[in-house]
Amino acid sequence: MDHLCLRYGDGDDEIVALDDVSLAVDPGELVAVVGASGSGKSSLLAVAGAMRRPDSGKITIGGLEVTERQVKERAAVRRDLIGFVFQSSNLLASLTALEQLELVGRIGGAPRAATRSKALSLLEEVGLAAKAGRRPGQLSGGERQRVGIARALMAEPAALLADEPTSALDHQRATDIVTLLRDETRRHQIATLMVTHDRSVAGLADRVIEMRDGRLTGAGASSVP
Amino acid sequence: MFVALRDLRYAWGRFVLMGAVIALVAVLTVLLTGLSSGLVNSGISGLRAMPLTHLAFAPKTNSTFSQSTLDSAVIRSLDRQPGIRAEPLGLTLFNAKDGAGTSFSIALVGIEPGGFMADGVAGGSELGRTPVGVIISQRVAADGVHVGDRVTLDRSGMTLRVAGIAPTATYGHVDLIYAPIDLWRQATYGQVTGGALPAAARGLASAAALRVQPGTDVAAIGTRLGVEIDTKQQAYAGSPGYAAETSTMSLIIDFLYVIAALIVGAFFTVWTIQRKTDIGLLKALGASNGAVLRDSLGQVVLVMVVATGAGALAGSGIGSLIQGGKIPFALQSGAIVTAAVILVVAGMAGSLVAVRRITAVDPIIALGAAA
Repeated sequence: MDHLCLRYGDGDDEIVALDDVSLAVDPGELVAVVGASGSGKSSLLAVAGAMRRPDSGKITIGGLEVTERQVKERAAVRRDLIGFVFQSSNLLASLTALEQLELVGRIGGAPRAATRSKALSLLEEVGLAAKAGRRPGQLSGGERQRVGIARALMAEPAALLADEPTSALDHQRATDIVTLLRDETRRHQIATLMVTHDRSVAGLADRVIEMRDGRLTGAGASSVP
Repeated sequence: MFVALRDLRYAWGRFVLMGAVIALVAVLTVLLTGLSSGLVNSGISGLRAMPLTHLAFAPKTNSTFSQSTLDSAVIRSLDRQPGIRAEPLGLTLFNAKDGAGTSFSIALVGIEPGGFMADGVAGGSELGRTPVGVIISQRVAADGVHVGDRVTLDRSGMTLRVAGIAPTATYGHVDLIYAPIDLWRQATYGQVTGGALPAAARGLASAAALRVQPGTDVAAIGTRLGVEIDTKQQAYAGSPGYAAETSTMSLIIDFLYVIAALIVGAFFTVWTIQRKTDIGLLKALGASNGAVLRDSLGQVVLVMVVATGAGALAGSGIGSLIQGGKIPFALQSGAIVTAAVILVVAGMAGSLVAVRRITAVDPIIALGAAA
């Protein structure tokens, strides 16, 4: 992310969501962005995840510049280059754990057999192979988030964006999830950006950056080389 | 259809409810279609079965047999036109009584014995024999009137001998009885059998039955000879109550299509609103608008086809029990398939309003932003 700026209107006020934000995340690195509500964390993810266009600045994912792309192209960028882990896992209620992962393969047009094999392998990797046939309602909060992480890995993304992945979990489960996220980041050599308000789990990341009033601060903040 | 099929499986209860409503609409549509076809048959099946292509009526009589009278000179002139064969055709509604004194309504049709009309009517050759007889329809025969029996016309008191039986055919909801044209003239112009026909009534007919070669300019001929020439289909409108009945039934059926569209539209609007977060998630995962739309429309088509198919089958089953009874009802597979297809299309049209919302869903709601 290179000198990103994002402003939006809120009634008569103008909110500066991102104020000249620059950040590079390396493959295999987990970077945690911590900050209070309204600090700009969600805007950072929305822009980094090709859901919002910044007012200015540049985003490059896996060597591909994605900033100026149109709606359809941005969907393709999300499909091919980015994995998302959402708050409260955000799984589809009608799909089993295995189908949550297969869905990503279907969206990408991958062959069915290969998709199923890969989905089973990833569920095995996150310790849920035995629960592949269960729906979200039949899984615990930690298990749902593990499925969410496995789903994010399905498309072999260059970047993984995690939005408060531990917000609904107790401390032990939160620690387990972030540890899993860090391990998978290293195993798959993905550039992972996690936003969280939980400083205790943020410490498990390779780098921790503070965000305040749309700006990145602290020792971990860096400019794009 | 990956998500759509799983949603159907997961939330089967609400789709079954919704499908049941559509199925009931389909049942009603099939029954009304059958009733409509039955009424049409009852109104014009006799005219439809006549071996003619056009009919000539007196001008400004709205293709109505009871209002029109043509004389033999006009009919002969028509017959002399290139590409046209013309015969006198009489049609008058009567009340009649069988030998047991049971009253029933008939449409007495007068045709030329030995002419093309008589050739085209089952048992028409009997009309040329002596003693003079009439051909009754099968339904009248089913009520206990047999060949050789006598039927008495109310108005003139004329007695008609049954000489043959033809398949059931009706006009204005009453059964046709075919008679030689002279017998029809005597019955219509008030002369009891055996009495001489007044000179003024000789050669008269309600209309002229025409067989017209393709390419013949009937409009010009009609203008020149002072008659109104209609196609057989145009002449249906002259059947008593035909236009009012068909337009009423069409209106009811059209309303059912609109109701189906509104039901499906309302259901899928609520369903789409409920799925907004899921749709946002699908888009966040990289699904294009087109892919999500195809998935949702596929769901609509599946629900509509299954529910409409089930309803149409159930309606046909009920209809087959009704058919053949006293209610004018006719199951016609073509009409049922057409109605079912229109119902599915109407449902899809209604759902378009709902699924159109899908394109407006922002993937950012997957991040928990306000929808």
